[in-house]
Amino acid sequence: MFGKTDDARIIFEEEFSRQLRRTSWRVFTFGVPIIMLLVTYVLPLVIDNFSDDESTPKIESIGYVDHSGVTDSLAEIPGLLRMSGLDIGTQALADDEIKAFFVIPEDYVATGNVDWYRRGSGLAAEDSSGDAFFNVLRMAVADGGLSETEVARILQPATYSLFKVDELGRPDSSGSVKDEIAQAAPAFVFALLLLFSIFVGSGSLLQSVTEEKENRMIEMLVTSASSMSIMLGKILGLGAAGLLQIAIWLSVAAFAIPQISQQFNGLASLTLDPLLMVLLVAYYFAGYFVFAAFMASIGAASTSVREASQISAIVMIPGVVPIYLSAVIIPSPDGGLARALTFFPLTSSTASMMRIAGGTEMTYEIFLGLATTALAGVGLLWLSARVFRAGLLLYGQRMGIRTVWQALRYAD
Amino acid sequence: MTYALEIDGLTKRFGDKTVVDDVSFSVQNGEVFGFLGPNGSGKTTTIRTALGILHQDAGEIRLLDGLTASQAMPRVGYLPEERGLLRKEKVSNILRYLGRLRGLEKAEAYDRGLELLHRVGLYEHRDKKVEGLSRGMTQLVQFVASLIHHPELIILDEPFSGLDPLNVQLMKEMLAAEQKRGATIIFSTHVMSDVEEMCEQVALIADSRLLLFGELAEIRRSRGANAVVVEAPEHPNTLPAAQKHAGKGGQVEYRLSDELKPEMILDAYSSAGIVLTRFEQVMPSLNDIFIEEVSNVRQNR
Repeated sequence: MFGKTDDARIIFEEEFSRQLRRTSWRVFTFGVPIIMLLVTYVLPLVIDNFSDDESTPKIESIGYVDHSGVTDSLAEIPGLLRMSGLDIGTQALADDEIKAFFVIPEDYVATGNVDWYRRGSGLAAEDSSGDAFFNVLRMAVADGGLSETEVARILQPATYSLFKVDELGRPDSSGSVKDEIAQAAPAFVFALLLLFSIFVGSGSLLQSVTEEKENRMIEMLVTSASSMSIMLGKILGLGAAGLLQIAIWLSVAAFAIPQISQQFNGLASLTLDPLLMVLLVAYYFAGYFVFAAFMASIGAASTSVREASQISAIVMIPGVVPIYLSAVIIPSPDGGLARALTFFPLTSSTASMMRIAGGTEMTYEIFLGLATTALAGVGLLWLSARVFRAGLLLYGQRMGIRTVWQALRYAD
Repeated sequence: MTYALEIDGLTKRFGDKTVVDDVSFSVQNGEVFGFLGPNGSGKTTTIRTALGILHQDAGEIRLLDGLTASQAMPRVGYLPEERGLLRKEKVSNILRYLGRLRGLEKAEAYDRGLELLHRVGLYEHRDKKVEGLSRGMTQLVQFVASLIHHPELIILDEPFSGLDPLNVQLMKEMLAAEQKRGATIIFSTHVMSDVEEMCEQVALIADSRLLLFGELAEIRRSRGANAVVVEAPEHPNTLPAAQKHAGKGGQVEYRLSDELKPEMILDAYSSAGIVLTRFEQVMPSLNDIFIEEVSNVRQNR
């Protein structure tokens, strides 16, 4: 109504500081890092105490070829198949006779390189075959008969080169484990952070708008500031509080992740592509804005927090769908489903992040999806301001198509 | 003449129902204006429309010498009929927030909020959350929020409802001070004594239509005397009993009508040989006018 940027700034500041004073925000913000630290330090201790180091690791049908000779002295181990050549191994993999196939090259002792052949999708870091195979190598050490250099090499984590094997047994290189994680992890982390923000930030926004309507504070607000200023101030204020929360989590994660990673084959040296980070942050903002503006509209149109919460669940579900479908999207990031979800504002953010995690080759579509989402966010902000205003204009009226349409027309 | 509010031909419909029907009145700068009407008469809708919260279907509204609602709002203080504040928020923080939205600087809004809390006796509750206050206290906080930015026009929708007499008196004193400062005050009510005590001008609305508008004293004068108060040691039995009401200390009030004129009452006392100590014609109270006007409208419906 008044269109003063000052009003939006004041509402932003007030909403931001009010959110920071909320007990629920503080508990969630500091509770997550505490859990993270517990996972980092306490869980490994517990696992160490309860695990039986002497037991033989269970190997689930893993095949291998050893050109280096480090496992020559090993007797036959159930579930571990020594194979004579690459072709036989990849064919066994294609026939689903084995879960994974490893090739230890001749220069393994010098380089530490091992080739890892896999079927299907999923991140290698999450695949227990790598750990199981590494334990086989450690058994070779226990068996004795190896030189000092060989022992030293085996005790170091192997550097895996990944190969995907198709249904005919044809292998195709897919980089290293590090490459795969560097590609997938940031996108995954941002997708999860976005979801957290959507649930926490836009949930607070929904509560803020409906509470003000419920307790009639809204009449005092709309006579002080324009609907657009109110909505913009609220969305940005609560968004900033959500961002601060994520910054705190990332700071703790930056400290904790290397500690966790050291427990997995030397992944501590993970590096991130700055351009990718910019894209993910931009997607984070665009995605948050879309959901927040949607929540604000729902809050503005609802008569109670309860009613608004029920409706909002319908809007939140599309955001979760791409993560739920990650098993489909990541292996084929340029498939029809993945591409379609990129251009729908409610799924675009998380779908694009999953596509990035899967290594999409159609980067222009990701940028196009970002632009679509950002535009939808701006449009939804405008709409939420009008719905908010229309909700007031409809005081005491029964909701009908005509009355709602009239209210939207007059909602300046 | 300058006007704080001019409403011309205002009509507002909710669906097929007309809740404000061609209402026109104006409020001069610096006066205290009473906006009267029974429950559901259209007072709140008129106020909300005047402030731009609702959109009118017809008519013109101008505030503070010709401004639109959006232009005038930073200079207007408003207490809505439906009270409420953020329940989990501290009293002082809410006042600072609303003060800032009304154009005050952060520190200024905070200090002014505390000053007003002092004046209404709620200073010691400044750090309490709203949910810890009584209903009356919450209403006072909302009232001071409407004054925080020294508004030129103060519009209060049923400001005294639900308050104890002490707080009503306190609010009236603060409004008197605001008028002295130069502010125009408009308040809606259906409590006639408040209007008689505070207002120079009134408008009466019932069933969506404006029934009366003008200077309160003039409205009462134009109605003429509607009763006679007589003080005497005894009272004659010849006058109609239905129009006779006993008062304190031997006083009797006779309701005037075509069948009972003041001279007929005088004649009756004189014929009975009773010496009068007081004989006074009484103007109709606002309450009488209100009841008469509203009853007429409802009878003619």
